[in-house]
Amino acid sequence: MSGSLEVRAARRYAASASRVYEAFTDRELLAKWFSPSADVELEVLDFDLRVGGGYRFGFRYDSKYDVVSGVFKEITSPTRLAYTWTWEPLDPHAGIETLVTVELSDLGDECEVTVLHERFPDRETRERHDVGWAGALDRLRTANGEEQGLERQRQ
Amino acid sequence: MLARMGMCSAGELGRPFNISQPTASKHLLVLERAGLVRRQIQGREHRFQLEAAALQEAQDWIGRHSAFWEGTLSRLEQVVEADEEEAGEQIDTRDRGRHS
Repeated sequence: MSGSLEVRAARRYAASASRVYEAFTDRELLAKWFSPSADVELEVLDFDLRVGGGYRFGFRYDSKYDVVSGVFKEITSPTRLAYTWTWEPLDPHAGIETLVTVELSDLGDECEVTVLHERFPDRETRERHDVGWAGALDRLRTANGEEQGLERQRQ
Repeated sequence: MLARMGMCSAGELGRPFNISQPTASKHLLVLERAGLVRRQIQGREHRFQLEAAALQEAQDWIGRHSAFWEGTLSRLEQVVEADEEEAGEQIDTRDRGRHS
């Protein structure tokens, strides 16, 4: 296991990579599909598609409304898109900055989409000694390294 | 063991595995530095407990985001695989099914 906590998802579509890329980058198209189920409605609050530009998505479900926002890190048509992803208060995961990387592969008749969503040990996680799994794994590795270093010195 | 029994000393934790108290203490120190166990000192006795919240939070995050992307990527199909002439206008196949 690497130091970061991650989720991966992949799927193939009978469509061209440019068609799929458009679905990820056109705010009107996004509003039609970008949510985990038909019951969850996406409201695109901001969508400034340029590196360094920001986005904000509101997800409405029954009486719940969760907002996620982030900044575009990489925009390469039609193969790759990377953006940070941080839930806003009062979400249970609010304030945890994560990174989403969407990769599109043209397989001739099909397009494969791979999403990697990762949490990484940030400075705050490392400093807050008692919180954060990613930071914990990081410290576990460091602590193990120190132990092994000590063992080697003793031998 | 920590999950089942709550708080234990290094000696108690090592005994079922034939691990000496000093060796168990060394391993516990590594886990403590990683934020996965917490040490409580009562007089001369050091007792350890699991940082269950850190583990639970990680599990919740994975479950939520895994479900999010699985659901979202399955909904993408109706948009990108819509018929060419319909693309851009009548994309939502759910609505089409409901009205026909």
